Amino acid sequence: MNPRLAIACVLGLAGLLLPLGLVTSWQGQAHARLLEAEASEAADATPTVATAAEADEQYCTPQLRTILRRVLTSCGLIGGSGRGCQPVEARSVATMQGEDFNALFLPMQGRGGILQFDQASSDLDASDLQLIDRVFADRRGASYFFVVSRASPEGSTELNRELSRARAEAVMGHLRQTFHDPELDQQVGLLWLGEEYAQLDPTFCEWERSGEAGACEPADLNRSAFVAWIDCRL
Amino acid sequence: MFVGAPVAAYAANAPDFDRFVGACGTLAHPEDAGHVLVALGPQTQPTQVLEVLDPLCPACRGFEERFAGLEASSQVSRRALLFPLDSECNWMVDRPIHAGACAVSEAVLCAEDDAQDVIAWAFAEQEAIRTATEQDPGAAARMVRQQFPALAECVGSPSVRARLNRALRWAVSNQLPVLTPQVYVNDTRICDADTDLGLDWTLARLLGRRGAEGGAR
Repeated sequence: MNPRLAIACVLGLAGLLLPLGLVTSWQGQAHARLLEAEASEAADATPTVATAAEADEQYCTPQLRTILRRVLTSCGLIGGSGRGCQPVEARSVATMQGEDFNALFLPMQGRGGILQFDQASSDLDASDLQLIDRVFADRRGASYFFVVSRASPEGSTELNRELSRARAEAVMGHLRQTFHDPELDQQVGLLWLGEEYAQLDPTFCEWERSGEAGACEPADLNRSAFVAWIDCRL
Repeated sequence: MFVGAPVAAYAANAPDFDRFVGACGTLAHPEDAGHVLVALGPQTQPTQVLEVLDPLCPACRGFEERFAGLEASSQVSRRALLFPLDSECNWMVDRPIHAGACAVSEAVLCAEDDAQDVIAWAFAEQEAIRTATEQDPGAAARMVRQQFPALAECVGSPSVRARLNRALRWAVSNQLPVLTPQVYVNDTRICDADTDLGLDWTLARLLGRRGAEGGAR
């Protein structure tokens, strides 16, 4: 063979194989780095960006969560179907004294309000509607809205039970009409307590109230529906 | 030959990047029962693009500019989920990262069919709105009312505040990351890295995938 041709062939082969080898080698290294990066990413389970979630405030003690779960289950908001609505038996659902039940709601002062009704009435006036709208629209990350209605002790127990029920349902009717929220039934828990359980004490006079601002005798305070968002995740 | 052979070798061993397209998750509950998604332009194309945006977020404005320049932008129907990074209404952030974004988002929801006009104005005035609202929390709402008098009554009303809250809760039900912008094509998320320089390439592949699915039916 002509030595010059042989050299040319060798050089040509080298010129072909060298770039081929380099390309293959670089690709192999890049592939290894990619696998390494993927493995490292998979091993680092800590998310770098937070995920959207509902609010869960510090006042959500284990005791409050237990009560909430019981009440919401009884109301059909959790694990049930149909409207969230719990008539009486709050005492047995809560399994606690009325004062203790009310105390659970004290941290929600900034998230709620008290609608004060006229005696023997379940009609919502303009100041009630304004307060409901303001509180309901200020939902933030809360999961559940409670309407806890009561009646003052005048009249029969049975009548007061029905009156407090009518008050709770008046609030629900307004929410349904105003906010057109398809998930309303899964968010709003109604409790009507009549005059029988957990009457509000003067501590609650400090809450934002509708109606006559000065009127905060026990009777005024309990002709009412308490409305509040609860920022607890269950 | 000296060029062709290495190129052919590279092409033969090139990694398949297609597997990364759409590898950043999908929407678990894309339905919009609460009427929280805002239509951006005509909804006539079968391919749906959802943008999770904050009208006062500079990266969202950048995305919008890039997207408008793409050929594929005319082949999709676009909707937006408002996700203001402003603690005034968004409990998922601990401070007003984009002060005034809640009020501007309310205006976008109030504007309904004219939502794009409000978004365009907000993108143009981002810095002025944010700066003014950092000094005075009511400034963004005032600026919106001044610019869009027809929306004055709606902005700040309980019903629009509740609707914006539902939009944020839509993000919760879909477990979205707390960041903007995010882009979903037919419920498949475009990875964050691809919303920048790789947007054109990624979008073309997702649209192609959609076409292939359609052809296979």
